[in-house]
Amino acid sequence: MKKRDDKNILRKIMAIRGMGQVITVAFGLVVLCIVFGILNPVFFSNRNIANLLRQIAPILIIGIGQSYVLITGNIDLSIGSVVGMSCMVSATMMTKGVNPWVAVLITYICCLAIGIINGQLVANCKLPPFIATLGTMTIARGIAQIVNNNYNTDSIGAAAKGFRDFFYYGKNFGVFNTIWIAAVLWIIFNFILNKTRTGRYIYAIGSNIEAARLSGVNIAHITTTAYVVSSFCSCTVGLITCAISGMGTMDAGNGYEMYAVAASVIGGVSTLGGQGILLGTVIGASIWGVLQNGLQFAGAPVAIRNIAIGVIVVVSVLLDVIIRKGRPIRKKKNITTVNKAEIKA
Amino acid sequence: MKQEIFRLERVTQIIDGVTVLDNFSMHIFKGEIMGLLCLNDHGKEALIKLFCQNVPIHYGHVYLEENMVNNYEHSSMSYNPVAVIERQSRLVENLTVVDNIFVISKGFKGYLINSNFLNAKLKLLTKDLNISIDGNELVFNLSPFEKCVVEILKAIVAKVKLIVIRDISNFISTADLKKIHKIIRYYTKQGISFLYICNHHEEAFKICDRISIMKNGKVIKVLNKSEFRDEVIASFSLDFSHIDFPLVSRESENGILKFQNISTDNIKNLSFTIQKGECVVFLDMNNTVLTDFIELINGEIKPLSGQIFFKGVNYTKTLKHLKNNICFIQENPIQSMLFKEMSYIDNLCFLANKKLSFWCPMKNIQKSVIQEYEKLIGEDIYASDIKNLTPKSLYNLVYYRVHLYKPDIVILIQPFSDADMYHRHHLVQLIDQLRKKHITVIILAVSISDCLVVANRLMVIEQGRLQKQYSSEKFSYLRANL
Repeated sequence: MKKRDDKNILRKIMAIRGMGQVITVAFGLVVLCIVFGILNPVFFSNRNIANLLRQIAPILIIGIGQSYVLITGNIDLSIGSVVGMSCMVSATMMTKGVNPWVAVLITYICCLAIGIINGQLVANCKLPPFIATLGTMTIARGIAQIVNNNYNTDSIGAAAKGFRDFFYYGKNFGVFNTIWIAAVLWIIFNFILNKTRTGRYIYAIGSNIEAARLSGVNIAHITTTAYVVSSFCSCTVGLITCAISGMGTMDAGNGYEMYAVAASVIGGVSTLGGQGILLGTVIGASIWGVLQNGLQFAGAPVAIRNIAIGVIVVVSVLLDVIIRKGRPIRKKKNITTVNKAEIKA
Repeated sequence: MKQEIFRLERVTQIIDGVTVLDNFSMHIFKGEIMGLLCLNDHGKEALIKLFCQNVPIHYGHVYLEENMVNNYEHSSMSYNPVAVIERQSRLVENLTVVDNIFVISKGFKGYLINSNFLNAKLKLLTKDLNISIDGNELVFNLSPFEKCVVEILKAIVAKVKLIVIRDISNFISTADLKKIHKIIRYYTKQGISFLYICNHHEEAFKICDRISIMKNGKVIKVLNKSEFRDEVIASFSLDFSHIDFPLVSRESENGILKFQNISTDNIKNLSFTIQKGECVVFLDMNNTVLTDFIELINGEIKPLSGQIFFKGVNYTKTLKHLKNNICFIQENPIQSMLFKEMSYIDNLCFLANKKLSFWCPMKNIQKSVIQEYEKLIGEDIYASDIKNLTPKSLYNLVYYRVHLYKPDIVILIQPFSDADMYHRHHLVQLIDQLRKKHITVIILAVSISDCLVVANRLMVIEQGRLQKQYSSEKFSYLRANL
């Protein structure tokens, strides 16, 4: 009896959308960890694992945002610039004596505005998401530069200690706060995606936008929601970046949009929309982090690390395309059965 | 007294200067299955849109439950409680059955999703239908029949007043069609009305309460149940029976194509022999084997067991080599098989070019093709833009392209689906042209449609197995029973 229950649980887990791909990638992650551990045993030291998790956390957070957007069948290229904008806006205000928490609030408002603009441009103005977010990417980077007259800010000072501890240096239950932030955000956004109507609508838009529209789904609202989530996540990472360095740097978040796409796509989120789970994004971000960290320990130059990540992204997308093409046309067994005797009658 | 659900009163609609609906009148009662037999496609699309949305009309009135919702003076563009079930599914494939039925719906009020609760609701909904559906199954994994059932359930949950069923026999197998009819009848008893659009009166007679016959966007006759007889329809339809068939060549043991105990995932131990010049129809009663059959011939999959012979040579291991001898004409070919940016002659010579060497002077070849085919095709052969040509001319292009290439076998996938009566009549003549050139024709179909008009033999496949074979002499008996 117990065996049968176990089988049912396993079947339920495997029935979750995209779980097969996540398990495959998770297996790859385990293999990577073992290889790097063998190459350099320090890889498994407590200190390195703590650092590794802290490295992974920001990538996971922006990966969550990008996953939301990718599942709707769009893309957000402004993530890196919003990270930079968030970092510069908050740091500039703090250096001007604004209360750090007020600065955080204003920064969130600014970044969410970028998300709303992205959503409106894509959903209402029908701009291709690539072009729309390319535009806001440049705008956000421009704001990051102009906010402190084209200079990096000075140190945000001792008054912002609480802010820096909250976002990066502090610990709760022996775990760095950055990891807690990532975990809490993941739980919230995973819940929204899997257990709420909004989540279903996000999948619906990415899978069949016409069917969703005809079923009364507000396409513009849901698309904007996805972009706002992405901007919210980017803003959080910007604040973490500010907390790490204790100052605002204009080039903060450069290239982060690529990392976000990498984390999502490696984790099985489809670039064609409608498919993917946030558990996959955790695995994707972890692979990114482990590769960076492990290759560093192995003494590989930055160029090699970049090549390795690039290759993995391409292979992941290729896998997605192959899997979509190769999906069985029909399942083996009909789930619908009609009383045959009655039909004959 | 019967309660009226929908009434279209003398509706005239003109789109881009073309009168798509001409003084069109129709009323549908609560719990009624109204048939719509379209002699041609003119106005069909516009009519369905008009049922769904109150779009501008040039004359007439539209009433929903006796309230005027649209008229020639004011059209609100609002949507009516109407669901359309057609080949292009309106379901979200990456979501589960319960998500599609309950969550992706205008009426869903909750915010949190409780799958167990929704599954229980689904069980309640399907209890009286004798249907068992796993609510957690992804829609992507469902068969066309199952998707159709889910769409009906979704419409019921959304509390629509009218469900438009459009050309369902084009994508639902004969066996499944009976099940769908049973479900439709169940819901009519619950007060749901249906508009059943189809091309064949035989199909409409089985399910409808009344039938409107439409031609050129106008209702030319309304038939009551007592008038459901072939002779009543005969005066409105074209005569398909006069067409002569070329004789089949002498039978040989291996024929031109021979399947010997072929099995795949869906095909079970299939054996048959097709002779050169023969026209054979494969009727897939469950809509499960056609994909495997096409992939086999195309060399995309290999049989799990058995052997395939072509002209007596075993091709089982080198199926890809068959491509040069076998052509496919897909379903709805004027959409799927033409290159809209190419000229008529470029399209016509597209297959034949494969037979030419790289250095062959194309212009000269095309000139001689024009000389040979102009008398068959007419002036259209000179068209540089095929987008403005009539569907009839485009069907010509598709079939004469194969005619010019002259393969040994041509496989037609549901050739008569999506074609109105006039086009179907023309298709019969085009298939005849192929056969006159001694090209073997294999028709793959899920519904019998007009296939028997051109066929020499019918093979009925059920649950992946060849159940019965009928020669042309027994077709009249079959027509009465299928």
